[in-house]
Amino acid sequence: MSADAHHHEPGFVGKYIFSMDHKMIAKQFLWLGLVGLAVGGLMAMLMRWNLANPGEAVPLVGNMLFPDSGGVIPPDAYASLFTMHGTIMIFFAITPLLIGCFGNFCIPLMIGARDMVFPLLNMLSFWTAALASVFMFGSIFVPLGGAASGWTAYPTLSTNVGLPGLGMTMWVVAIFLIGTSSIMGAVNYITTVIRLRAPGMGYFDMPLTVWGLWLTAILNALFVPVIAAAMVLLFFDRVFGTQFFAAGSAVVDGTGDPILYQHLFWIFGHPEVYILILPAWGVVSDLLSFFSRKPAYGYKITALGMTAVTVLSAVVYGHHMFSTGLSPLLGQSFMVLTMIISVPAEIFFLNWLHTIWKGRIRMATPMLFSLGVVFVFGLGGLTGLYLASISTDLYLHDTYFVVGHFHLTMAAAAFLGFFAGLYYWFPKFTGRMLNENLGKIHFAGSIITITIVFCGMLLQGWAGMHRRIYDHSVYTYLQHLAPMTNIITHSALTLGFFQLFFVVNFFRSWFAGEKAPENPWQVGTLEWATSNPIPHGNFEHIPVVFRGPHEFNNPDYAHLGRDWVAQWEQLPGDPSPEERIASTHVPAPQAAHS
Amino acid sequence: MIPLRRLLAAVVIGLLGAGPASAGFLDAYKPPVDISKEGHRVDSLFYVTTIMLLVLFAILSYVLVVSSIRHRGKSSHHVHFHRGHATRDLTIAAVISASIFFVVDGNLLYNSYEDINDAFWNYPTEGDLTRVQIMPQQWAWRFRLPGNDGQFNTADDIVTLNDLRIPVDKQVIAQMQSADVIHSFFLPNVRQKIDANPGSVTKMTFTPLQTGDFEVVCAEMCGLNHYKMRAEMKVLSTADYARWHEEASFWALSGFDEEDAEAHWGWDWEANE
Repeated sequence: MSADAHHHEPGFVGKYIFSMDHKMIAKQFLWLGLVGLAVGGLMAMLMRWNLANPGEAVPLVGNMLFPDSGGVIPPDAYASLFTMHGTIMIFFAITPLLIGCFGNFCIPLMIGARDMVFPLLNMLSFWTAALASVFMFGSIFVPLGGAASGWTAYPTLSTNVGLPGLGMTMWVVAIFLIGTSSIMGAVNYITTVIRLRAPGMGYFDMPLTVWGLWLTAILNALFVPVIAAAMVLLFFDRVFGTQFFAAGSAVVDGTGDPILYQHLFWIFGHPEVYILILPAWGVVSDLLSFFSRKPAYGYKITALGMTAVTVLSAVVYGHHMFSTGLSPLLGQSFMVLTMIISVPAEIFFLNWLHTIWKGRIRMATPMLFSLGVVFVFGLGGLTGLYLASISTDLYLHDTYFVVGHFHLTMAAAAFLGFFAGLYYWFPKFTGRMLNENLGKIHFAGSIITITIVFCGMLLQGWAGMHRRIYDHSVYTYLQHLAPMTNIITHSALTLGFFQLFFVVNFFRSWFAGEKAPENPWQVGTLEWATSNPIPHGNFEHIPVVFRGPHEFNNPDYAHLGRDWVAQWEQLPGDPSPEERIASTHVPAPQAAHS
Repeated sequence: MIPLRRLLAAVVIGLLGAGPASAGFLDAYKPPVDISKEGHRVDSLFYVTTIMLLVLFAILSYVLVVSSIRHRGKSSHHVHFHRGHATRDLTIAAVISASIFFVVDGNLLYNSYEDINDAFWNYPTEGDLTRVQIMPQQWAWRFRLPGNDGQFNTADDIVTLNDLRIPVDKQVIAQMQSADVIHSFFLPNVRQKIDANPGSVTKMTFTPLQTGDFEVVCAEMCGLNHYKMRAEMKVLSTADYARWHEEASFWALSGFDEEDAEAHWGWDWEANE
């Protein structure tokens, strides 16, 4: 399409609600994700309060939330809280923020496209997610309470045998719907990256952010259908009385198999953790280079390393099931495969360290959060080894060691990666800068408390504290861990408090922040080639790409008097646009839509 | 390239600094006493791995801290322009990663392989064993020991609730199923857990070496009262156990009720399972 030929100003509904513009859909996902993050985070704080003070009324909000028990969180509400905390954080916070928002915003802008290849599908993807969140958030308020089976929803607990309430059924429907939304988004992202790259942009000229988002989309398209299938079968078990999973127990006659569900769940579930972290890996790989003013060390190897992790992620899921009575052959195979996945991950992790080493680091907020990701992911990645090994996992499985490990990797690393990206792209998003001082306070408060909270959990897990327990004082062998429980709770509440600096910063800057310069970070990727506010169709003219995204301090360009060169700049010595296009085999995309 | 000398320095700092500090922490937060013949395998593998990972973590922290302080924008040093694309760079990265894999992961793999084949997943079928059947339900543990006839599912079976009694120094083999939802039989003092699933039989074996009362924990979310699904495991001396077993078997036989279907949840021992 051409930017102006068919352009007519849409009305309010077309512009803000049923918008097909990728930038507006990115904003819609951002708001959805921030609501999810706030709700999920508050749920975590309620849980932490209860763990440190079991049976005591929650201050301030207790009587409002739990009037029947005088402000005390009852055990059934606690089970619902940890179930909904996990589900909301994964599917309604990380997914919309890192995949929905960044995917929509960054992919077209960073590859030089005018929009997604399927704008209508894009809109449907958001509205399916919105419908899913109605079911998910609504499930808390129905009689008999919300889902309370843990986010993994293992049958037979998640069938009518364990949880007959409507809330659990609504949860199943919500997961199916959010999965459908993810698949729609994934198909769009994959096709857009393949079809709509700017002329001259080969796959290895794409920013690593785009690589991360693209690989995530591929995993989404392949593995979300598996959880969708599991949800359909679970729905049938719950509503129509089939027995795919709800069988074998004394209370039900039948021939189903609850373990079958675990296989289906983890065939999706393990790729899912990479689905959640790959966008953050991509963002961090780029930002470390941008703010160290050095090329991303081993760019191609990083991209291929992330690809290798993506492929391997499909064949490691069995390490979640070592204690189910898995056959030794399967157990050993999954153990070896899981260990192998650490090799490509180590390679690109080393590349990150090489990138910042001897750079000229600009300690802006996005860089601080990126370094934070390297730190927490280092901790989380290393502790994963204990859980890949059967011997140690037989003890550590289902303890707080697991909780600490996966929060460091896929929760803390993903959210710090989100904040890194948000502080970085906010000027492109809104035309205004986020406040640096508030950002730095936000970072410092978050990284310290995150480290205490999740390292504390690792220690408690090693001491044998099992998870999903309402009150640990029931067990004598856990009594001496109460002081650490208190420390973790205080740190978690402080972590929550420091998010207020972000909330203030976000709203103040969105409406009244300092106006952003055209290219505030002096970076040469394509989103900075267009003006602010971004015009309809993104680019006046689609730029031709001459080089990779990380040209910093290249001695060949020292005469330019600046330390960066943009991807779209044609400098003396570069080939002509025609030659560049011919050598990369990436022509201008044909008009895909109008 | 990160210079080798500094890397070595970081390793030394890691060992001298982070190691003992973390060892102090680990000591305060160590697992409950290990009462089994096999549990030390988990503990030693954990500690050896932890020491190696602390070294890696020290290197990581060193690079993060030093580059954040020394290589800040204001410093006037020359930016090290390096794409890291040469075959040599890839070789170095691959060699480092492979070394970590063979040392750290390799140690875990080798030991895990030994552990499961020699101990954890090596289920005995004959010999002098304490055989026990376990049938958890929401939210209690039911245990079944054979009476004097040595057979399961007969009138003199000793059935207990939340109270498992076993003799010391004799290998235990447990078979379990679940009556309703999935539970997980976790013995922190033995360093092992195994799920109890409805509809299929899973197993656990261990040898208790110490008498006393220890806790049995449910490690799989099983509903409302999951958090207090707790049982006692009483490891008795051989003589005490024999005395208790004799008595319990007698009372079991005299209290047996053919009509009480609920109580007959046992199954024939699956010898080749």
